[in-house]
Amino acid sequence: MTDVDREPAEPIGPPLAWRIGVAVLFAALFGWFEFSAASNLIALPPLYSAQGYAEYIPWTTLVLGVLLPPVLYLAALLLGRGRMLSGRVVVFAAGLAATTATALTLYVLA
Amino acid sequence: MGLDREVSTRDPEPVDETDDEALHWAGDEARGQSAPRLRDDADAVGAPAEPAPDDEPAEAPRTPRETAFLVGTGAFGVVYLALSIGWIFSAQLLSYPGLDTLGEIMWQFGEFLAMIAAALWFAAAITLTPDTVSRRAAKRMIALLVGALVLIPWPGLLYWIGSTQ
Repeated sequence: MTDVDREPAEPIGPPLAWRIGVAVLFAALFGWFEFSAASNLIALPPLYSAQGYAEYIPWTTLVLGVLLPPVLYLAALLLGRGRMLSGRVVVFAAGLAATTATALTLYVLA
Repeated sequence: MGLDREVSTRDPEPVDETDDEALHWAGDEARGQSAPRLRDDADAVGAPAEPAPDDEPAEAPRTPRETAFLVGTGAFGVVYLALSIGWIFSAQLLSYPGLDTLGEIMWQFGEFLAMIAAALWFAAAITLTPDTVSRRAAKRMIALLVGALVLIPWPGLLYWIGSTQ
């Protein structure tokens, strides 16, 4: 995305502390779903193997579950650059909501 | 229009009754075109003149591209409303598989976010494509299309497919 695509710079941008605070808050929320996905990726394959279903391990959904939260967080972080604080929050919230929706979808598909 | 102003501001005296008919074409009203105004009391000398159309604030008509952009955004709005309903239905079908309290709380939080995910994505797409963005229509349509594909409520959809078989 080029500079032309962004909104014109605000006369007074959001304070740095607020920008960092929003990014950290959403990083923690994204982090929880990353933690859950990583836990599944670590714990489920041995469980499947122990039950004799090693060939049915849903590797695709497990790996996607781990990859999606950081990808969506970084996308929201980049798309929110240069915008008002409210715009950043909306973009982060949309990314987090998409993360949870895809996590539920992967849970059902797995 | 110029013709209207020319006709309406002319000197009413003397007037040949056949002038208006000569300037009037059959079917003008049906096509929405302005025809020469027939003489009435307002044409009398001393009557207040009508404001010239040029004095009114000009409202630029929408181009077909802009109309298509608005219609597309509205159509996606309907799709996203359906996605929200689908996720509300899907959340009723799911339950937390674990036993820990924190996990249960975050699971409920995740279900709530999934229910409002479509509305948030729609709002984010609108926020990211303001008037100042170049190729705004294409970017918004792509963002909304990607969101519609990502946010398909598979849990409810699979349940519905399974129940019909």
